[in-house]
Amino acid sequence: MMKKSDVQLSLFFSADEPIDERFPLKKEEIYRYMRFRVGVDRKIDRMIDECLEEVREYSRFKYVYRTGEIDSLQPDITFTESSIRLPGNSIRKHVRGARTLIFFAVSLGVEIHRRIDYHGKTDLLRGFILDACATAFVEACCDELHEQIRAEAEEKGFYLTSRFSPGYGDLPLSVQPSILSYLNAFRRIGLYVSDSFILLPRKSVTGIMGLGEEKKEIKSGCTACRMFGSCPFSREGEIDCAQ
Amino acid sequence: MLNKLTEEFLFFDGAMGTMLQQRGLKAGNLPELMNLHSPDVIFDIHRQYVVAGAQILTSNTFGAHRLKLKDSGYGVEEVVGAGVRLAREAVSGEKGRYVALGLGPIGTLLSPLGTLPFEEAIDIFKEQIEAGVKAGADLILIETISDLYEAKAAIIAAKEKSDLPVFCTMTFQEDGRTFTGTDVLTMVNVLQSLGVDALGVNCSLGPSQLQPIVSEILKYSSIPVMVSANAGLPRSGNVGAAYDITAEEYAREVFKMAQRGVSVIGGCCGTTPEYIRCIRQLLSGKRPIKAAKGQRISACSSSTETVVFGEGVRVIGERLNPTGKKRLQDALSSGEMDYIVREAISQKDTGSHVLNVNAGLPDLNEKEVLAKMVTEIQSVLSIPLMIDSSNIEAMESALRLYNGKPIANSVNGKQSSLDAVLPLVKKYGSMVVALTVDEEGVPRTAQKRVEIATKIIEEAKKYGIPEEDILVDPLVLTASAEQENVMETLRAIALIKAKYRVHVILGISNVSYGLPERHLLNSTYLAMALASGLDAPIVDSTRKSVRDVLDSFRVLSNEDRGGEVYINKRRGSIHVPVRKTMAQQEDIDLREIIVKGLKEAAAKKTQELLKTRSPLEVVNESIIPALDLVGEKYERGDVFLPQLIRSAETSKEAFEVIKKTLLREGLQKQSAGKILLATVQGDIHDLGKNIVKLILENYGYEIIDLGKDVPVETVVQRAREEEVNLVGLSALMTTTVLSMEETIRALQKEIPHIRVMVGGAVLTQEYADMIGAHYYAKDAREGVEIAREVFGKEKHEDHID
Repeated sequence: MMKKSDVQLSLFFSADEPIDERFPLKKEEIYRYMRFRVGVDRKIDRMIDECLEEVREYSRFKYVYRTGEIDSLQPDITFTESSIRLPGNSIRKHVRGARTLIFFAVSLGVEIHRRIDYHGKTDLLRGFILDACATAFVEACCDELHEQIRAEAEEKGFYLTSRFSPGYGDLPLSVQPSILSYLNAFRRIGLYVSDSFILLPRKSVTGIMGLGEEKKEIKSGCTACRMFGSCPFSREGEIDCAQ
Repeated sequence: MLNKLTEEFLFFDGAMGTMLQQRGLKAGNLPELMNLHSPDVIFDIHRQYVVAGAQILTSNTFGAHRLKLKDSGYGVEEVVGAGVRLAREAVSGEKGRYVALGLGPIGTLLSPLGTLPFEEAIDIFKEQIEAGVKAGADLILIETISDLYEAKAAIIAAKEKSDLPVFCTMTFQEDGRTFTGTDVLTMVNVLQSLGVDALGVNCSLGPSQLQPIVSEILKYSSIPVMVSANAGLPRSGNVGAAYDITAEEYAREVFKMAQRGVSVIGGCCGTTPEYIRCIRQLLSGKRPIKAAKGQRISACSSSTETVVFGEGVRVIGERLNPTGKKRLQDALSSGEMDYIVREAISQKDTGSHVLNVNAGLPDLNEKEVLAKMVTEIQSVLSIPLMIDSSNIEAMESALRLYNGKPIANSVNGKQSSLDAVLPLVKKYGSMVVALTVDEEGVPRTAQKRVEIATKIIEEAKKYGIPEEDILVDPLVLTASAEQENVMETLRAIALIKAKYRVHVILGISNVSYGLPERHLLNSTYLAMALASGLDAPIVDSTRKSVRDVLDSFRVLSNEDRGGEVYINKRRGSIHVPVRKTMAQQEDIDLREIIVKGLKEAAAKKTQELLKTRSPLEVVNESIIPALDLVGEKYERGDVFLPQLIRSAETSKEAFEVIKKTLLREGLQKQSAGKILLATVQGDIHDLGKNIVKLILENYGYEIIDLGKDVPVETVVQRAREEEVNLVGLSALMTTTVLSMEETIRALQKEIPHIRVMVGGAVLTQEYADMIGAHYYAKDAREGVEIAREVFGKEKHEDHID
């Protein structure tokens, strides 16, 4: 495994780390995914705590990221060293000003996928809660990775945009295979994609961040999402969701 | 070449992708298309490897399969054919050089973990193999595989489409498991039995990180071991694939592996001709050590767990056999797989190491049901299975689709049985139970049992099935009919074990048939058989009397060292004070139990109620009113989804008791209406659908649950067969809503009167209207309202005959 100090920008990096105390979870998130409230039912609160432990036990923080130099912005974003094409206005707006994009994939690994299936068959409530907890964890992992790269970037005088995933705005899920292939995500972290563009194992996320030289105000969060207005998870002022 | 394998080292080439990237291949473009676009580049790389000393070139066909080539404008035969021919040309005129057809993973996960059906995976590989064989490949190299199930698909394809040698290497993480959780022992046990000629590891890590994994492979493998490591770990300082060790360092590490027994050597990511030259030089004039051959073990496996026989008592759980079990019969006929899975879990949790699975019922399509049981259990549990069937077709299909190395139950001394079963055992790499019975029936004496065992063992050898893969069952007759012969079975155990390296398995409960208090006789006989050397009793581990014998035997036989397990279990039952939970209080009624979701109390309370009230009364006076109350509270926002689920699960426990009572009395539960549920094709999220199912079932609706990733045709066909009026479809992704729309359209066309309700995270009322659904269920509770509208509300109030 590589040491953190080896990490520089403009590169290709992967790792497989434990889920440790770096991931303090906001429990409200989990309650929101479940459409539930803290303190309503003590037994369920306890089950949520147990599930959080179970996610820690059965998950890994597996990730890979790689930079890509933008070749052209029109009509789609294309790259000098990869055959990825990113269509649509949302991603172009999101990374405006960036000359380099960072592609990433994060996965909790196959064990937690199996645990969710297991409980789904035997104890539906536990399966439901575990699923919500794992979603919260994978989001936390993405945040951690973003933070890690942002710190590096700012140290070197770059600005990093927030993350943007296939399926947000008008960026189609069909870009998944080319991103995974560029990241060599199968060999690096064991990540597959189905022909309906579902990432497997579940509880995995791919995404894109823009690396620019100056900060641009970019609209992100709920209002940029295609689910805006109909999403059951959205709350005013909040930007993270199961998507 | 194969003959030389144990005499000389065999050198493969190094990486192709690395060499192509150095020549400017853009990431994301298919490297296999260069076989056609730039054949000279590929040829040149092959030649460099030949000059460096590689004896086997791997064709540039790693991902040349129909899914990846779909939009490329080229066919599989064209690309694979060109790839193999280029390698052929590069070795032409050279002595002792061969071409391996290189096959990599398909790139998507197989069902049930993912969506690619097992048989389709076999087909995909077959297409590549046919093209490769036609173009003149000398062997098949299946490499970089992470999913053991995919390796099995590729090996079956190779065996069915060619006679070429097959090498198979998998990739491991530093923790010694593949990405899908297969450990080294399991990999070796499964691949070796499937009949590959060499096995090992490639890619993954650098050679130094692979050392412990390679040592473990060598420990278990009795066939040649192959290693193609990466050129170290990927280095972060550069763009693209750059690795951190030199050719010399690589060679030194691989040399250590060769000293311990590795005999087939190549290179993966980051390696170049220089790496192959170095290792070849270092090993020149040396011979592989023959001690490499690991001891053959006697073991069965799932994809992530291996059970070794002969290292203590191994318990085979017997409960998944419908003979004489009404509730299980009912579950099998109605396709209620959740019940099967629960039965499997209860046995695993009580100490079974392997589960016997049987679907032999007169009115059942055994082949279909057995396959379904195996898939369902394997999708949830990692416990290995024993496939129990006398229907040879059912046996074959289950052995084939099983993920791992199962046990076939069974073959016997009749020639017809030997001829039918042993070829399957060999082909699908399973263990087999050998019953000591032949044309003349079950023998009376121990000696005759040994003779039949001998016949089976000798016959198996003709197929290349080793003794270690055989579990002999010396069969016990019932004490009520043949009391004088009961001891003969025990004598046979010792005789058979003294003579062969087989292990002994035995169904215990037959001994007590027709006698009172059977568990007494069973426990005593179990203890006697274990003392006689029985390795694997077939018993019901959920019975305490059985566990008591097993626990105590393990102390007395020195298996449970220091009696640790025994003492801990007993301490637990003696010292922990039993706290009375609210659920155990006498006065709380079933209605409250359901509303509060006190799951563990529901069954007992229902049993109590059934002593004084009819099943119908319990349902109508306690369960339904409780569910209505929870439903109303949910609609008002007084309780939330998790509580609704819990109440539904609690009433499910109560219904389970009622169902058993009805079955016992020969009564049928009448359904309030039949509903078919499915997660649409391409989608694997079925938690939401399962919640809907649970709640609809509670309201008396009969649910035909087709599971997840269900093809359009299957939904239509089953909807017609089952004559349902309402279909519920679930989809969680924008991409799979398209297949939902397709399903609705097909249903409308074929069965115009049918109603369709849809649900799932990305759906809205407008979206549902747009794709032609009749109803949009925003949550599970609304599903009930829709069903009531479709079937009429009055029905559920009188749904038991």
